[in-house]
Amino acid sequence: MNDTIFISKFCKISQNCVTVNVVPSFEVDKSIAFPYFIKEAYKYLGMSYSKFFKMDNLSKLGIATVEFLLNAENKPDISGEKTGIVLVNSESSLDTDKAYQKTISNKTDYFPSPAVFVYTLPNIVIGEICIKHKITGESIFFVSKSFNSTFLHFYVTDLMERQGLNSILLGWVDYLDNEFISLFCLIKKSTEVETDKQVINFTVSNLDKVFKNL
Amino acid sequence: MEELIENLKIEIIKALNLEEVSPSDIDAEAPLFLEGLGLDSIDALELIVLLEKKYNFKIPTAEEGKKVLYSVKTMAEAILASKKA
Amino acid sequence: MKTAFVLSDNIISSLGFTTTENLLAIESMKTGLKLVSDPELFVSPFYASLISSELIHKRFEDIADPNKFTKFEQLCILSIKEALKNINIPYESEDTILILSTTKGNIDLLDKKTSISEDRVYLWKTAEIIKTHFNLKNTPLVISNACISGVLGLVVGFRLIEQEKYKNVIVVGADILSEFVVSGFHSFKSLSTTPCKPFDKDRDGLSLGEAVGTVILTAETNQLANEPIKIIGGSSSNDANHISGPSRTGEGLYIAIKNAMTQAQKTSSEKIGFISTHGTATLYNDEMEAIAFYRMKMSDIPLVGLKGIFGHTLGAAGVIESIAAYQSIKRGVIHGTVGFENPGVSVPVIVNKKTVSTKTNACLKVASGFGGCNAAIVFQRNE
Repeated sequence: MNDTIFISKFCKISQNCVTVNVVPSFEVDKSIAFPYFIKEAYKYLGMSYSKFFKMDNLSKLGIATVEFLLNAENKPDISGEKTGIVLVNSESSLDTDKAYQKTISNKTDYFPSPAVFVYTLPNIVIGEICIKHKITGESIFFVSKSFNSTFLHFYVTDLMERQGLNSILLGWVDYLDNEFISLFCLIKKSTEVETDKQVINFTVSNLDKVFKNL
Repeated sequence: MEELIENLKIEIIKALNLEEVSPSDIDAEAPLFLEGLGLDSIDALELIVLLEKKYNFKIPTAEEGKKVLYSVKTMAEAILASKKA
Repeated sequence: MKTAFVLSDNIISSLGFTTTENLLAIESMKTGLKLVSDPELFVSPFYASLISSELIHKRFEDIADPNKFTKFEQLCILSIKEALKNINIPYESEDTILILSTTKGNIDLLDKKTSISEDRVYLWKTAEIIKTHFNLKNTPLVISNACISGVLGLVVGFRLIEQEKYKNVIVVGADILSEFVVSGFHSFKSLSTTPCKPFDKDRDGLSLGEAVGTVILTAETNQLANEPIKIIGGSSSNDANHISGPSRTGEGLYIAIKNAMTQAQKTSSEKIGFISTHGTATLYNDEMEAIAFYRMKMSDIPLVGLKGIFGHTLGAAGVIESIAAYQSIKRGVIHGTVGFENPGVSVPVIVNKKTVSTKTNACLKVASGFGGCNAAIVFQRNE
């Protein structure tokens, strides 16, 4: 008999607004560009993590979303081999790809940037989250036009029931040209969750309901 | 030399996105790696690009690179030495 | 629960357009690495394994209008077509799904002036193009996870078959050479000055390559060849250490191998006959891998590195090198490691230098990548 699997809280960031379970948690004027918004979010979170400012926009968005989510969950310990990460988006690392392309497009001012190049892979967001939270479990980055609840429900369930993981950070995180949206949730097993009326059973239809907020 | 060092500090902060660091926080003689600013391997590569792009100084070998990138002062010295050549 | 068998496969690389052509070249230790002088790819010459554009074009002309498909798409379609030859699966049905594993897809579109729409730089869009060409029913899965994308594609396919979500999974791993990628690795000072030397004491970096590999996994046993290959374990893990430098203790790779082997050992007590390494020939990668094998008490297992032949083919690597690995089991050999002469890592390793005979039935394939990711997969011959 398998443990029951739950979706704990979910955090969404879009249009300079952070919501946790659709309740606004932090907001900045919509006219403000992402770099300034995310810096305000960083300060609001009370983060002290200088690596943050070396990250590209996609990674900053991912890291901040996880931070808001974990705060809302009373900062559970998700370190170790038993936590996995599954992220999806539609634009891959295109925003940073374009930024990198700029560093090589002018042959008379040709200075390819290694610090930009390293972020031209979407799974670097996962890497940054793993480094910050010391997560050494399985992880994977899918690229998809839209969030596929049926497949992702299967994949996450497999990770928890057959690959031995206890928690999964499941999220959508997209960034391109100052347009951005992220939505992360924490999937946990019932032994890991205190009795809490806020938990949602991990089913395809509930996953659909959570991610319809995208 | 002093002007170059101050200029370098500003450029380093910009190139490495050292958001929470101001020029006065950087000790020109302190090591840049392991201690001091605690820069990493990617930062080292970006500094190599910075030296080429803004100061027209190309690091000849990896060994030379370690010496040049030791501190802001050694970077400034290398730039000045190359200008004399 | 079903067993995931390998039904068919294909490799397209500088060594040839079929798996057999590639295997023959690997067995005779022939390298696909050449000095490439192409200002469109990079300002100075570099060693790489390139596929002839004329050959791709010529072969693709027989299938469709090359002007309507990018080089990346042409390669994927050619490879899938070849893998589908000589087998008969209802690939247009809902029981089949395509998994595309790639790091950069059509990234060259960011720079090119072609008639092909720039939205093809979206990886899911590229996958759609391939899906439409073969009239596949299901939306393809796309994995973009640095250099472990190929192995992950096989692991995901393995799990889909095991859990009976699909009867057939077409796993394609592909990446092309582009100025974007060459300049990026050059800025990391990780390109070799000579053809790369995996695990060698004089190794000084990686050599890039382009390729595509297709593996068709199936749950159906009616068309399998004698003693087919099956996947019996697979896993991944993150170092949680640095986004570009591998863990000095090989932590992530150690965990991935441990989990893959634990899973494999639930169904089989077969000994691993050799390990197909990631072996990029950078100072840090090969050292990290050796340490991970040492921690797993696998130091006495022969290592094979194929990047001295294929170059580092990024998203394709995990697939083409897996094909070479399990095919070598069927052909009764362990491949030699082109570029290797003397070990240059801090722990004992046995790097297989030349093609040798073997009776082994099982092998381990590993991969590591930017972002601190690592993956491992176990193949076994079914007797």
